[in-house]
Amino acid sequence: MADPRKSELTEAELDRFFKASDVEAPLPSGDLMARILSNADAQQAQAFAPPPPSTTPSEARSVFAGLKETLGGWAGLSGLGAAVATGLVIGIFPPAQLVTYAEVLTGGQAYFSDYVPGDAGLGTVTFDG
Amino acid sequence: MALDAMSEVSDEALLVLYANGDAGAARSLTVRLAPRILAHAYRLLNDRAEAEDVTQEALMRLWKIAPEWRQGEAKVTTWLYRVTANLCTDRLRKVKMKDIDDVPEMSDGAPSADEGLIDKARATALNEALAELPERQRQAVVLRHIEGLQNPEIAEIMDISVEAVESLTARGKRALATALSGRRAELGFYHG
Repeated sequence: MADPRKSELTEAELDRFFKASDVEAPLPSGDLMARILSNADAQQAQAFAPPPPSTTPSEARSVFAGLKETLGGWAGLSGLGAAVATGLVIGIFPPAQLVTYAEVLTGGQAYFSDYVPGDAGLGTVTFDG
Repeated sequence: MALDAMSEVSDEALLVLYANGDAGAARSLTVRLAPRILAHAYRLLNDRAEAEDVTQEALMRLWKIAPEWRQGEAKVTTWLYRVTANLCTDRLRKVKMKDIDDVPEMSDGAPSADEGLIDKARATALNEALAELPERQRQAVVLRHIEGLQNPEIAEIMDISVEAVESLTARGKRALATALSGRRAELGFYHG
């Protein structure tokens, strides 16, 4: 006859082992809880940290450098300078003097057609010869 | 006083609160989840220190994934059990587990009348027997019969069918019943 002490455990007996395991489950130590919370806080702080600046002040480009690049380098800047100077001359000289100035520049005869009489000076300079 | 001040709030909602910067949410989740994860890891590893490391690592992964957590797709506990099991499996593969002969034997003397001591002895004996089971059987038995999860959730955690879970738990229980049968007397079971 089989020794009952050696026979397989019954369902009810096995359940008592499971219940005992549940009762005897290890509890987290204070140190473990502190480590977990420290990780949580650090992770949260990292997630909410402001992003680092993309460039340092020394790397920041000046307005002049940006303009130079936009206009195609020094050649573009020279063209812009010439246009500004021409505009300045036209603005300073009145129409009659502009004709004289055009004659001096071209070496021919020039006429000024005034479309808006008065001081506005709006018209065209025509060259002859 | 309840340790978990947000006991009415679901794990998933707490995780979203944490991701939104609520410091209290992490404390509530830790109080709620750390004991379960530690107990689960301990039953899979039968090593307290290793189980603590796994618990810390599993929760660290939870904090990291929090900003990407999509509510309604999975339960936090299901996700954590899966991560914990994977971490335990990695450790079991790397570290050779202590041979059962190295585990202190239970006293051969008559069991104490103290129920607490008997429970402790039974829990220790069960852990020793669990450690001898194949990993998947052990995990299924622990989740079903100690953690008390339902088969569909276990299937999700283990990424297998419900039928496979039933098969694993049935085989695991049979193996445990056989392994523990010889220790009836020392563990407070009497016949006749």
